[in-house]
Amino acid sequence: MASTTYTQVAGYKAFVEEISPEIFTKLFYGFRTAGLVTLHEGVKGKKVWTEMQLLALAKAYFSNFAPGQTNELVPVTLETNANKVEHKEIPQDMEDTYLGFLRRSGFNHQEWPLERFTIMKLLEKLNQEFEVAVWQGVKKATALAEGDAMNITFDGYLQIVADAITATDVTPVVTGAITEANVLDKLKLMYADLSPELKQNGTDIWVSYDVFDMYVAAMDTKFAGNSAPYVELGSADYRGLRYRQGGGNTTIIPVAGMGSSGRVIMLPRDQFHIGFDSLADWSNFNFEQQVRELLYWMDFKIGVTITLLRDGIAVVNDQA
Amino acid sequence: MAVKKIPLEVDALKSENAELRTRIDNAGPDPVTAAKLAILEKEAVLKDESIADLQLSIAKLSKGIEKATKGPVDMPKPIKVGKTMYRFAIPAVRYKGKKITAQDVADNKDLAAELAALGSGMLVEV
Repeated sequence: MASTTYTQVAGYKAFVEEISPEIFTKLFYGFRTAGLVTLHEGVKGKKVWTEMQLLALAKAYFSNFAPGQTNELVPVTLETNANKVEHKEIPQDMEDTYLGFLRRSGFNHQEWPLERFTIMKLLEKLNQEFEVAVWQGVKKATALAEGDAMNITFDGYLQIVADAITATDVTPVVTGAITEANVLDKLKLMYADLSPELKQNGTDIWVSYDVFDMYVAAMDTKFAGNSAPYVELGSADYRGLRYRQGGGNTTIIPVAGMGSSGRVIMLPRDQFHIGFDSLADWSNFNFEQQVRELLYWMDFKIGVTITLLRDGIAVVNDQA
Repeated sequence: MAVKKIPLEVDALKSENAELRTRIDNAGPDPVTAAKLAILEKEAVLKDESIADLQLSIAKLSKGIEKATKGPVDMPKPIKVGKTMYRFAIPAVRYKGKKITAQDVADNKDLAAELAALGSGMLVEV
């Protein structure tokens, strides 16, 4: 097969320069969880902010001024960690797949040069890895070694919750193993522990697809297939369910990144944070041609944290 | 037949003996013995180092075993429920509307059995 002009690395470079904001957006905003949580752009090391917890304020009247301790200041740290992507491919090897992709009905091939096709494939895979890492990441206790995967460079949400339980910041509700037969009761049990304000204003219930599907099946059984309204989560092809109890503003969110975890986390989505590089640094998606191979590499920083992971605001269960 | 020495001779011999001992002590051991002593001292030092290493390893292993069986810090000792041994993995949980600590569960076998039957994450099989 003859080499084609669009396999030349200059084409890739030009393409990336042209659409770098799009690549950046797709990479850091393109995975499901990123579409829901609070994102912080331009975090290059640690971002520390102070969480103020107000304690009891109103007291019986006496003429003296004795405020005592009325607030507690707790530092919250969002730390991003350096990661990299290195990939090589021979563009000619995938040309037939690309041409097959272009022949789809109603497809405008002008919008999809080979450069876009290959880069988007990479970004899709990276999005999957990001989705898993932000939930299931467990930071390696010892020094990182060459070849270590991204998900051991920082603690993900599940590990952060586990650490908060160990530190007794949040007390898990005993649900035991969740099954289709008991999922409705177990969620009800957990929901009962939420503060009345959150019941009224709404919160989010984060679950794995295992637990979500048990819930759907249990609701279908109970309400003869007419259970609860679906709620779009940022896009038409990502949907959660409206939770019936409370003020009607609570959503059950299925998360692929949670894997088969039995953990249920009730906490508003705003309290989940992801930090990453800024667009200004976005000159780090590089290409080089080496004989027939095209080499890609990219350096980036990413990390996550959770705020207000405290009893009364967050309710979690005792399953890992 | 024993020779009976007069006291002056005995004193002279004692004095000579003492002098000889002093000379031997000052001169130190002979070269062969000295070499053997040096080897023994080196071995003793090496053995001391090995013992220190072993003690360090024992301390590390004990800490590891403690962590593996007791879980995170300040947890009660593992508990036997039926035929299974469980360690505590969570310091406190909410159960039946009440906050209960790992110590409460350690002190109450029936509660431990209840939580184990539920499959609570507070108890992890050892």
